[in-house]
Amino acid sequence: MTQGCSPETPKLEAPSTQASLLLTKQTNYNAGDTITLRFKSNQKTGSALVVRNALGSSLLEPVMKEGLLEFQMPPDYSQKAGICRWEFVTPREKSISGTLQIAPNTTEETLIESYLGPRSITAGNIDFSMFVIVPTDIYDNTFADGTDITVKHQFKETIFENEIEIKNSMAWTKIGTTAKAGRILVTASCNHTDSKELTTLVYPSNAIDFTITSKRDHQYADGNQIITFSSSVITDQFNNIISDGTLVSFLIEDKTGNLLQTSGSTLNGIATAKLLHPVEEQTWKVTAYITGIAKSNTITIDFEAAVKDYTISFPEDKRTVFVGPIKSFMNQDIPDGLVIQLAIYNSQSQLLETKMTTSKNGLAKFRLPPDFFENGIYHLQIKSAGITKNITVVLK
Amino acid sequence: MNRTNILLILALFIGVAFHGSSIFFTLEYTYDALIHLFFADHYANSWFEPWDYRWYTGFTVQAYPPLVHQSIALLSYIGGLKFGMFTVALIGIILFITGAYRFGLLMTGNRKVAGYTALMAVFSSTFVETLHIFGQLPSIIGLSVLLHALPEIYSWIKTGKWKYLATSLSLIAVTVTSHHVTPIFGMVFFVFPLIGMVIMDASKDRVKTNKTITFKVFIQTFKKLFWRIVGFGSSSLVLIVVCILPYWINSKKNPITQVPIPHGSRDNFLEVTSSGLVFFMIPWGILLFIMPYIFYRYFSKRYLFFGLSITMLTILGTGGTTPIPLKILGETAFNILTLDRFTLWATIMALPLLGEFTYRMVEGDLKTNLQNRFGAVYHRILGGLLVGGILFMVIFTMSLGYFRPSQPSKIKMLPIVNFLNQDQHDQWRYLPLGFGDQMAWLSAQTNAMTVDGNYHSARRLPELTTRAIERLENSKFRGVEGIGSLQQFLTVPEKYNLKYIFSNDKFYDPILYFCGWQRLQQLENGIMVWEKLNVPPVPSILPKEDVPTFLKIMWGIIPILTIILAFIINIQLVWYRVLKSKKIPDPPYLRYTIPYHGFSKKLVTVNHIWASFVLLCLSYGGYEFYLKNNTQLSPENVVHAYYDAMDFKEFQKAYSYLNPESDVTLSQYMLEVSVTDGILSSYAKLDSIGITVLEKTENSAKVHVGTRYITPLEKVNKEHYHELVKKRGKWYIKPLGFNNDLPPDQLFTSSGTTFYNHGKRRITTQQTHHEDVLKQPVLEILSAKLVKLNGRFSIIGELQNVDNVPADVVLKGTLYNNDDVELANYNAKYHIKHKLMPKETTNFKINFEGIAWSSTEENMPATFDPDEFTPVNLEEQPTKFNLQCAGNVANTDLYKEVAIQEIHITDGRIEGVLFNSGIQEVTIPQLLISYYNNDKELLWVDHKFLTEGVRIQRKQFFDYQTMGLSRIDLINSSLEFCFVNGLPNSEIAKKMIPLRDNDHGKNQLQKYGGDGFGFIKFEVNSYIGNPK
Repeated sequence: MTQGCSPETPKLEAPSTQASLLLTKQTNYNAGDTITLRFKSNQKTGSALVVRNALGSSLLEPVMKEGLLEFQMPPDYSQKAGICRWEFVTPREKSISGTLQIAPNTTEETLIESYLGPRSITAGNIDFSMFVIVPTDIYDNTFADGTDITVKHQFKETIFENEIEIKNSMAWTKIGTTAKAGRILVTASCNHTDSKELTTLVYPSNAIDFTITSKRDHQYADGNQIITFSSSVITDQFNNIISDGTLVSFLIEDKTGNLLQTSGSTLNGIATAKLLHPVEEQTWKVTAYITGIAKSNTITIDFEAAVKDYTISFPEDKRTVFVGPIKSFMNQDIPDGLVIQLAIYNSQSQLLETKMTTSKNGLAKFRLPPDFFENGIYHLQIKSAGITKNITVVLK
Repeated sequence: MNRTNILLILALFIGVAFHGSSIFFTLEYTYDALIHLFFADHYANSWFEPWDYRWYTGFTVQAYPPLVHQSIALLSYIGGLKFGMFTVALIGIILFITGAYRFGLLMTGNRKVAGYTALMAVFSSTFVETLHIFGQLPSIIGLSVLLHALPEIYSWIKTGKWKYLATSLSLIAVTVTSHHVTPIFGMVFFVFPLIGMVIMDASKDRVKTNKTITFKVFIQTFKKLFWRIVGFGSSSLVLIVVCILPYWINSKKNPITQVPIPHGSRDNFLEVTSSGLVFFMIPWGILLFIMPYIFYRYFSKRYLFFGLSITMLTILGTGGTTPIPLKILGETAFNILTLDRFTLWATIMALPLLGEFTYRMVEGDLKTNLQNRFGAVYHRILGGLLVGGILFMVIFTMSLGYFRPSQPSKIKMLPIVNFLNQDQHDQWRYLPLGFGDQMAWLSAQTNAMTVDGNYHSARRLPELTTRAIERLENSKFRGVEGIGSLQQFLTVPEKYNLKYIFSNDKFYDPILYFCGWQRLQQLENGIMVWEKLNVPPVPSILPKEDVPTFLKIMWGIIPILTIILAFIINIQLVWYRVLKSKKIPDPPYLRYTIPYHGFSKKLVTVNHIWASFVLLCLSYGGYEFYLKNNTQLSPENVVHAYYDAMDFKEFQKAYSYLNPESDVTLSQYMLEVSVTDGILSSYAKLDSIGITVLEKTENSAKVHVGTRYITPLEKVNKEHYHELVKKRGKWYIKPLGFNNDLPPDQLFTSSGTTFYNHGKRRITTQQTHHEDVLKQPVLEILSAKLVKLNGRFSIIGELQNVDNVPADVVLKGTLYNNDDVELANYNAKYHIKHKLMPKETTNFKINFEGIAWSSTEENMPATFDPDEFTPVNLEEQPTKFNLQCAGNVANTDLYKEVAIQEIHITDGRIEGVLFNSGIQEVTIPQLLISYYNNDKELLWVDHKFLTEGVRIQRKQFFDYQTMGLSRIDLINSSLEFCFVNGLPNSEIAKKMIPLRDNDHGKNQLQKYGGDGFGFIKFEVNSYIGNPK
């Protein structure tokens, strides 16, 4: 596609008045034509033709034909569009020189190289992809400035078409984005040849504020059921549903001011995220964010305590603390896995040890083996489901 | 004319049959054999070019004498590399047996004894170990040829006939070109004593009896033989220098900068009994029992110098057991040499005497002595015991490789080779993990390059030479130091054009994930391929250290020439000797045959006492072993055994240590341990365990167990408390309670977006077509700061994927001083979420690790501790930073469904629960904890790996201790030099989210009144071990 490096118009230098003479008069060719230069010269031996084009120089040997020196341009020179300079040199006489003008071959097949980028743009009215077209002839010569190129692009039901011209070997145009997200297909044609299909995707623009809702199976804080938060269909300002996979963070502030968090990525604009129910009476304030871009309203969710109370028993002859049965809101056993903590203090209220266990069938037990807890008075503090209980026991 | 020695024929026959057939099952699993195969492959492909790009970003094969490698390469033209290796091994076996024969003949002058020596050589445990466990082919060949050279050297010095000089030098040349250490130390330990022996013999010729050889006579003889000795000495010195001249030049030019790599032969064998077994007990084998005989004989007048030599070798071979080897060799040599070679030489040196002993035992004076003294039955029993002992040692040594394999099981390389050849994958470097020495075999089959290698003397990268690790590939065996070294390669892979990792050991998976690598595919041989995005291919022109052409030609020609010359010079003699086609005069040493009559009675007694002593020691060792392994003898033992069993996943064994009276059944126990996943249960190696008994009564105890695990990410210290009970004289552990947590539902549904990238859509051998190259996702750096805490500099900040597709993030930070001079650069390791969904944010921290500072390369600390950062002495203060951030479309590891709840803030710590609301099991959850000041500006980023995973729809408790940040210094917080995909960050910020609401981020911070900070933020990064 490289053409002659010089834009200057071709001119034939007059042969010198010396004995050497160029007999071939044609100076304009099409790429791929056979180019033969004939010289008349007194020097029959030792003469040569120096040819130069944009890609390099060569020295050609003559062939004698009917008393004339004939030079056949090799394909590297005859197929290269642009200026080809020649210089006829002989040992004795003054050299003569001239130029040939070789034009791109427009009669045979045209090839089109096309580039489109970026491959994805954002909906709205600012972004664009750039379409660059470089048509060439079969010898890889680019076409002259001003050659017409038809560019077409399709979006939804519409096909747009416009004409552009080659300038400096190539033509380019901007494919502007659209307010609606979707796919733009682009193609170009030149000299009865069409380019391949290229694609740019119009992605939705940035999200705008949205709303959230929550869904749960009951309002009790049993620490076991799962609450689901969902967003409304999140769109951008042009009403495009935002890209699938966009991450939405749900921030939950509980009644003590601690922040819990969960997140979900959108599918068809809706983000869903889950959390476990709390283990004790709670009030949650939930807000969702697409950080820096959009946020939701804040919703408030109240949880009632599932466990109102539980009993602690301590059979005196044994060294086991039984917690429970722990009953949930319908007097059913609390689902397995409720955390129960036991802090053991001695009679001077010094903390000796903290033990933790989880409930099974609504029950939990702690062993206080005599090897580690000598006989005596101990204060036990039991915490579970937000309820703290203290008892004092005498280990025997 | 002598009869052909039947014993030698027998030895050769058995030796070739036994070793020759078993090498096919052992050699490929040895430590060294495949390395030599790789070198051979190098010569097969480019005989004269010493530079090989495939290991260590390029190294020279002139770092190892080439003869064996070149021989394998030559043979590989006939039947492939392995054919070459096995053929050379067979030649080595034959050379060794015949060498032992000739050495025996030289020493004793008795063909029968020499025959026995050859026979003993076949079964010597030291040879079995060197060949079948270590695979040291060059060493075997070098030593065997040296043994062949010894008689020639003797003859030369004794007779002064030039042909002997020629034969001995030709053989020395072969030794030199096959192994460099053998001739050097061989000179000292074999040839010097031999010269001493020649002088002794020559002196004896003068004074007729051994007894009359005085020091004066000795010196006179020495003077007489002086010029022959000097002639031989200087010409062999010339040979040592000239034959492998390129090697010496290379050693001078590239001195070994490698820090010492620990080797078992330097251990204290009494402390590290496994090393004692491999490097002392096995090589010595049956010789241990007749040590008094060996030393008695070698300290007789004729062998006196051999006596000194073998004493020296024996002592040096004991490694770190006594301080003597360290004192003799000096610190440097002690740490570079592997000391097992001294034991090898000592045991080889002892072979003729073992042969002699056997001869005397079987048909000589010892037999008569024993029979007369103790009766024929005793002699037979003793003989039977000796034969049994020899056979036991052989079988025991051979079975070591079977029961305690030193290598991972054989890997089919073809799928990996195909993968590397496909789709231009060999344009990047690769790294095998968990391949053992088989990595050399992989390298030999491909042109692709790796940053690792298996010949550490040839290393050049300071990242490797400053670490005492053998290979990156097995870095887990070197603990935190190895992992630390590996991490540097994984964190900054673009520096080495490292894009593919073949993982044969899932241990390394977590570190790969957290360093930003992703799983590509599992090959049909089960090897997982990991890849890193944003790594440029290897440049087409790579640097190499060239050497002058004459060195290349020397290196390519001389070794093979030495073989040809040795062959031409020696073949005539061998021909006559073997085929008896011509009578050749007996070599001079045959005149010094000792008549074997009258075995010293005292020696028999002494040897009996010694043997009993050895037996006693062995029994005591066995008893100690029993005591240590009697698992339930004490609370410590049972806890130790329990943790060992857990470490090796022997759950049934672990269960057997639990209190049998507890109500946990085996099936219940198995169920509970099998569902536990996480870094400790799946990816950790128990490094050390400290057991403290807190309270102990007659039948119960309470112990504190401090465990230290090596994990791929960092070392984990974990504390456990156990209650123990004693039942019927055995201690048991009381089982701990298990979490009863029960998810509410049986069946869960989950929906979400998944992503797929075609890669090349067209099947083409050309580079990926431009329209198949995805646009790099746009990221935005929201904030970035250079801070200094406790003397270390870090870049911290916040980053968001502002594109519509998921992004893989590579973040590179560079520090500059006031004069814009670059001080260091490094990538974000695991203080970042490397995979971001659209619009997801992550906080990050870049630590600048030691190697990044080139000026400190020389004085790197010997160990790398991921928890303790190496403070770097910066001559200048970094004041500015540059942040280069690159996004690439990610389509894996995008699991974001772990929620944080039940937060409780107490003094100095935060407790909470992670809840996994999705349907993938999170193997290793990582918390990224960011600290903010009262104005909600980022101060610091910390991390915590949770040691247990979060199962599907279940929760996991965490407990985080907050830091004190009152002494943090903010140095620079300008975003001026922040770039995303090569474009200025500010431009991106303007274009992508022009109306950014900065309150969103601030609203997501947890208020926390801490030391030097006011707010805190948690982020979760989840590693999924087995994606479904």
